[in-house]
Amino acid sequence: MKKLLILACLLVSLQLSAQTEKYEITDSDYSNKKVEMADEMRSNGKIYVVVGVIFLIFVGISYYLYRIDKKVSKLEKEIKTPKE
Amino acid sequence: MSDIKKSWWKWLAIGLVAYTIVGGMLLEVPRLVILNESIRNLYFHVTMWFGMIVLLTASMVYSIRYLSKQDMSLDIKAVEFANAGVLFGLLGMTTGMLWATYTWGEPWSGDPKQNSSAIALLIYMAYLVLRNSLNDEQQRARISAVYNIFAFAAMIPLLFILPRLADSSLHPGNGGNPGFNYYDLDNKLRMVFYPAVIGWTLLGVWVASLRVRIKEVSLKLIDNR
Repeated sequence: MKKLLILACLLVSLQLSAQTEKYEITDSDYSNKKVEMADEMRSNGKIYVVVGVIFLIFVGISYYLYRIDKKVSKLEKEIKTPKE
Repeated sequence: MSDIKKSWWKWLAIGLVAYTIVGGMLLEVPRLVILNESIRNLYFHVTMWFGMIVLLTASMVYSIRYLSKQDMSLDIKAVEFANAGVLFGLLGMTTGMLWATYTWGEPWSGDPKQNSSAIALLIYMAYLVLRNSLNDEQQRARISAVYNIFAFAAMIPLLFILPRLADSSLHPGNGGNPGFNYYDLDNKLRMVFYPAVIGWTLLGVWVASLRVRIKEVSLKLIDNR
């Protein structure tokens, strides 16, 4: 019990000491126009095309995994009930 | 269990990663100096390491269970989860180097966390090499299980303790840098980050489980012959 209490105190103190170094993200970070972001890409830079491409690649990879999964299931079934 | 239509978690993995890609690329992120849009790597680079930790923890648990039960199928699970974990680690490493090139100025700056994660990965690669050097099945399973537990015990201080003890680090949450909660604190980032961690991890579990099943099928084929 005592050990647990010491451990809890340690954790709390660690948390507190970590807090002083934290940088808090505020709303002003979202509207800080001084920092360059891909704003142009968003308005007319066709970023959605890239997102679409990545998404399609992921769909392809998932389908591939799905097919492998089905094939393994089939093999497992064949092994359980031999055809001979 | 083996029927894919019944395993909901595989569909969950696909859905969450799909959400990560679309949401992670398009949802609003804070505008921070140096990071700029690359803050979105939080959903892709950082999640690789989270996934790796989960996969390697699973591998270690299977190794412990192997030692107590001596069941070969537990040994297969231990290897394949370690394999998937190392794959995630290598992806985390390469994506991190690409990210570092454009934010820290060079791909490898000898950052404490970079160095210790490289050592941790080498320890795990030694595990995979060790397995191939032993011919006797039982012996291989037992020795590599012991080594795997050691590797996990070495990885934890390498990734979570030593980088924090270092004087300075470029990684957030290490050395004199602000904590990881620097990103974590923000609710908008969290909305993609947590689903991303779960999604990528489940995808890793899926890949590992496929390899486990293929290995079990091939073992059965050898037995039947």
